[in-house]
Amino acid sequence: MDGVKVDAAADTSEALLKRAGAEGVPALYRDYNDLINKAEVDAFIIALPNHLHYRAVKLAAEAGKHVLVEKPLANSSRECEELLEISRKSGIVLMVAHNYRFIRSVQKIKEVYDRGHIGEAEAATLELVINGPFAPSFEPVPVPEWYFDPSRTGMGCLDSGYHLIDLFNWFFGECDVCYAKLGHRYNLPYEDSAILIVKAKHGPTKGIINVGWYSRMIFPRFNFRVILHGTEGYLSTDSYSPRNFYAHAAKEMAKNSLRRMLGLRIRPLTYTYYYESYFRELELFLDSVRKGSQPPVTAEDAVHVLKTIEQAYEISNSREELSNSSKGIC
Amino acid sequence: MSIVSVERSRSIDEQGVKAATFQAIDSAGFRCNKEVDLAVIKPNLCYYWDSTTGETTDPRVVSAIIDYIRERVNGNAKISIVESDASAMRADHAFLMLGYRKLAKQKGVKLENISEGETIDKELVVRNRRIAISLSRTLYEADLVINAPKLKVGPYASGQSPHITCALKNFFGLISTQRKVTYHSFLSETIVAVNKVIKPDVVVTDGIVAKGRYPVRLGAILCGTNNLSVDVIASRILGYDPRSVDHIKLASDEGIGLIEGITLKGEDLDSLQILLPKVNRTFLSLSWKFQLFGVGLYCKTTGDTMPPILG
Repeated sequence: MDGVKVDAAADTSEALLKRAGAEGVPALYRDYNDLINKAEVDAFIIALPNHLHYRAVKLAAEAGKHVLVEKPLANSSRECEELLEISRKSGIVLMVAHNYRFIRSVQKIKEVYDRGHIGEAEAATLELVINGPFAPSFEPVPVPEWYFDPSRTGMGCLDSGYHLIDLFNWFFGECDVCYAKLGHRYNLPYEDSAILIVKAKHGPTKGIINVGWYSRMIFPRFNFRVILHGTEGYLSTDSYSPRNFYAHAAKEMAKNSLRRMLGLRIRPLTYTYYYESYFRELELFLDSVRKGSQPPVTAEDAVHVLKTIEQAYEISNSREELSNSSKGIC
Repeated sequence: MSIVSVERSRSIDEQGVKAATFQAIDSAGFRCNKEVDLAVIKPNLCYYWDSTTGETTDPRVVSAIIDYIRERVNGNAKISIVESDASAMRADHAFLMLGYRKLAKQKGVKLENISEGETIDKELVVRNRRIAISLSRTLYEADLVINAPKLKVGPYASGQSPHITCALKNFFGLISTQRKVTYHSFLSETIVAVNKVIKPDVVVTDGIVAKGRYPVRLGAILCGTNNLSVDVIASRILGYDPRSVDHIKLASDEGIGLIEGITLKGEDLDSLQILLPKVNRTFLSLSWKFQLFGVGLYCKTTGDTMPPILG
């Protein structure tokens, strides 16, 4: 990335620090507190486990540094609101990594929808059924322990559902939850599947959000789609996603190789289809930092998503109580 | 002479699975002529995917085995379900996620992570290679060892995996070492080494959902008293000549059992083979290697990035 230097990194893993060192990162820390207090940098990218986001963002914002943080911004809407306030006072750019907005097929249907080509969406279906933290890595290493601890994850598969809620909000504005059913196929202390029915607060659109961490499916297969059902037609991300991931990868690799030969800038990670969105969000964050402009995803967006998730848990819990007290209702 | 029985459950519910399991154990000629105070059951819990994916042993099969021990062997025997930690998996999490914690509570049996606790070290020579393995003391103390593998074709990522990962391979999971990936470059030898030390009294294979190229609801239970014999039949069901599977051939050469002369009881193998199309392992292995090589070369020449999942 032009004009950007990685000056410091922190991780508890020696192996990862070593790797960062080999990549040319000069200042390495074992404790993120040291990194935030000592490193002379303009911005931080925070990709810690969920429960550490709040504290790390707070420290960075109070130190006047710009922040790109992995979602969720924090584990509760109250904490998110607090961070929003701190970031406003300190005048930093605080962006939350809602990378699904930057997936090419999502961008495409947003563009077509905003042009009004399918009329007004009466309903939307948003689906993401994956293996979540249980995706086996190429080099076999255990799933990090914090993923098994709900006090640290803050949520179950709604951690992935978070993206779908954000997409609904992005398309149609804030929403309310009308129905929530959580599933526990894998006996974890949090949900591994969830079906939510949501309704836009200021519009007619209803949405079905279907998310799960129960599927063994591994990349490049990717069970994600957004379908918009409008008054004039419909749009689906499937229509803009590569039908054959291998052919897509080969095509994108060929294009980048050609760009390189012609001395042009390559478009990183386009061959992966999915990881390209991470690069795009990072580019946009750095652009906001340079210009001092509002980032494309704000802490306010994160507050809205967290409020929806909290509402979903509340509705699901009250349904459970109802079904427990009145046999036969559910 | 070795007997392997194949029974199919007509209904894939708890009762159907139990009936098929009992029938398969009886047909395999298993008779327990010793006093059993402690029985251990080793299911295949290779990762956190439930049995419907064809990857792990169905807890209903293990439940039926527990019932069999209680009803036909000794109603008061202590029963432990054992599994070890693996390179990418913690046994305790697998017990929870795959329904074994629930099963243990319901049946009053113990769950034991055999990567913890006292172990006994052994050193063996297989195919001129010296292999050191650590096995839990519990396995030596058990009066009855029941192997409860899954009928499936193994993963391909390491490129070292055997064609089928049924009875013999399930005992690889008895090794208490967590980083078992260190054995992958001599996997067949290690599988055979463990099988030389620990012998099962009975093998009850879960083929309720089997896995070839994809999961298939077979509703089958394979049973025998020798790991090798069961694997010979399993490989035939999965479409492989058992002699072409390295660890089966090696096990036979090392005297763990015989590939020939197995008496088959129950279902006709042809009907099961039709349901389970063969996986072309060579193509998959080459395809993986080719893809990784291609991506690596591309990243090197263009300066593009490799995502962490591949790097």
